[in-house]
Amino acid sequence: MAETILDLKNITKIYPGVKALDSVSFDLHQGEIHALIGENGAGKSTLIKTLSGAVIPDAGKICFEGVDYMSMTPQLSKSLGIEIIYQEFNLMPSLSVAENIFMGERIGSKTIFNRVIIEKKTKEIFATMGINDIDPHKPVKELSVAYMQLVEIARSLSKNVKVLVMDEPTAPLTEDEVEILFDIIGKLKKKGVSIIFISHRLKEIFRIADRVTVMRDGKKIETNKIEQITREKLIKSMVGRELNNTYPQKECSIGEEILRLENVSGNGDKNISFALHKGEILGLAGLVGAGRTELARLLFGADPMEGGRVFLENEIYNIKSPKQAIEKGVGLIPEDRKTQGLILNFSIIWNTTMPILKQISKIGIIDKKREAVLVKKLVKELIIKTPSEKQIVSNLSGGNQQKVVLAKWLAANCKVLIFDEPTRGIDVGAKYEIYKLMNKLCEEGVGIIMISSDMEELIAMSDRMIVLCEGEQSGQLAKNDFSQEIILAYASGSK
Amino acid sequence: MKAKLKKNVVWLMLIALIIIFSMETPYFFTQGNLITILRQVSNTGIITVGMSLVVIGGGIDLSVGTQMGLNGMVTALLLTTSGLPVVICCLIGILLSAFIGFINGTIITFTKMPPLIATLGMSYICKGFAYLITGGFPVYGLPEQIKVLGQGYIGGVFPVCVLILIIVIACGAFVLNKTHFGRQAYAIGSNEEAARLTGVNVNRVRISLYTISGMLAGLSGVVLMSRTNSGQATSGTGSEMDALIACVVGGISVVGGEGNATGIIGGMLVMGVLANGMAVMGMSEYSQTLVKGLVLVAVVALDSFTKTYTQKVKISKVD
Repeated sequence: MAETILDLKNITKIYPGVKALDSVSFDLHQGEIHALIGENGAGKSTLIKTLSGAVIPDAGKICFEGVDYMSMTPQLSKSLGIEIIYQEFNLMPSLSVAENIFMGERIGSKTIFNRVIIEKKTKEIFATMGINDIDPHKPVKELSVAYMQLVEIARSLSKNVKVLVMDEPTAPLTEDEVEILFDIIGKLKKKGVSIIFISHRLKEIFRIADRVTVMRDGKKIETNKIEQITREKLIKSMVGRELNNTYPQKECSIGEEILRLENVSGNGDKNISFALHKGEILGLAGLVGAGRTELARLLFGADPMEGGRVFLENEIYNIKSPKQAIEKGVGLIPEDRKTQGLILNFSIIWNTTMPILKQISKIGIIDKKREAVLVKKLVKELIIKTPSEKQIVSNLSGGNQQKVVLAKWLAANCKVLIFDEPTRGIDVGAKYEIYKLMNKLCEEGVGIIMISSDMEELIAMSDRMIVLCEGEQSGQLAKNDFSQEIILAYASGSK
Repeated sequence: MKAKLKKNVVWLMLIALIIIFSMETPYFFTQGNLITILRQVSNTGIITVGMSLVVIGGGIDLSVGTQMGLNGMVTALLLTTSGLPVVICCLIGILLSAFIGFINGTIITFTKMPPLIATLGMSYICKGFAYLITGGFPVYGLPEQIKVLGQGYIGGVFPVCVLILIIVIACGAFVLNKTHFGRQAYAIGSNEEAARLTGVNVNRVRISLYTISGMLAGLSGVVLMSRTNSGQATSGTGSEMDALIACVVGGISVVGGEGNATGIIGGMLVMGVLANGMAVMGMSEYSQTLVKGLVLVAVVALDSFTKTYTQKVKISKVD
């Protein structure tokens, strides 16, 4: 057995209202590839961030090469030889490959920047990775995504890396490129580099990992040698919580068709076809990047549609902007309420009436009395906790902010509402109220499309489910057929 | 508490300046001089209102200064050569500026060019045209009627140009506070994407803002032409910066989405009082420029400091 290079002991991190990490222990052997898996929000990224020094744990120890640390700082982490490659690269696009790799270092002379030396050194590093077709002089922005990733790896090699963390490195790559990457990972392993490999793709994990650790809800569930576990078992421990009674019962029948998509394409999605009915909650399932948000934005006119047709109440629904979508009665609760759903420095009143400014205005002048009455009613109806409707929304809690977003669309009287991750980062109580509200909207005949990465929530709330995988519709499930295993299978494209 | 202080800081500054200048020289706090201040403020004041709308909407308009010069030249030429009625000439001049503003807005919207660059370019274009029209020579011999705008008095006391400024401010305040267009301007300045996703026609609002700014630059140009009783290519040059400073001092955030009409008035008056007071005290124009710069930096520094300070407090609370 190889010796342990990194040992995280009982790491705990608490954010207001959430235990992001709950006494997580994780060890990494010298020269091993250790896969870290879990659903979105399981705590993988937070754990990695404690390693990089971006997050200071509330409790626990980080033991690196036998030395205990209470927490890391970015400088300390780097000086120890821990390098992390995030999904968003940390590269300067207009600088050359070599300049990026040796950014922040003084090679050769202390004052004069020597391009020749660093380009030579760059070539050497790439040669050790077995890559000879990269031009160190080329600006990074001219490289493909795969090569950008290689530059990131080369950079960490130039810094004498001991532990390399890769966060979903294969997500943007084509199959051939994944092969190249795996080849390099294999070489690094032989050189004694220890690798933490985060991925959603189980197939890859079975191919390259030595051990695999599953996280769920901020806890470590189990660590296993890869030979000792099966794919089914991994899925089970990833999703395996029990559905409890946190969802309100929906009591309404599904009515006639309200929205129909025929071969809708655009924004990375291809040939999506389904129908939505009055009073129905249609779940859109899929992994991150499957094209769910992209589809929502197409339907809302936020991005242009490239092909296919959409019908709203059997009339062609041809829109070019969110403005037109709202006029036709379609609303979107966007996934990021802080940057898309709300104008943070506006008051509750101002935010709520944004989509209906025209309706409450006469010859362009806002009827402020009507506005105040309307918003007051909605604040009461949605139980938004605030001292006054004039409160600036950035001062509200996440749950109350989301309710303001909902208030906005209630005011607009929509026929179809798209909820994109409506309960992300919201406490349990507010979640329940949002679910109740969704059900109530259904009773009023609204058709709802719901996107959520919280599988449990999606299963509990949806009447029917469409699964997307890499921009394509990979499955359609009726309520009776819902199971996390089946959905995951469709979502990962293995069915 | 802090927010209140920030809102009132411009008025506190104004009072402090008035007290200081009154103590320094007896000429300062006289009816005559106070009216002079208002007259001096009126030209920059008019474009400040336009600038504030654009800045609240998340942009900037550096072309208003030279638009005033170009507009003054064109109007003066029309007045002296075309034989059209005075009112029509002025209207054509103002419409020309509105059109220039429309072009600014259209370029910025459709090329996604930074507004700073687009309007800077436009500023040079306007300047160039203003010189080219007559080869740089001023236009004299304007009809008598035009004088009333810049030099006329109501009842012999109250300047017409100040009345124009008051009307413009009132309209600006009305637009910002009462209309849905004003609300949408705040929205696109605060968060363009969120505004778009709530159905704001961002392009239309933005183009309208620049058009209004241009129109007001035109109005200001006509008033200035009337005051100097001539069309001068150089007139108005640099006043876009004075307007911008007045906006910032008046609490309009340069990144957009924040500010109100009272602040704008305060900002204008502070800059007006400062300029006049220093002149009355006999300070040279050079030192006046220096002081203006100092005031701008001091106000913005204070604002940024309080903002980062409150942010730090918030972050430490989260941790």
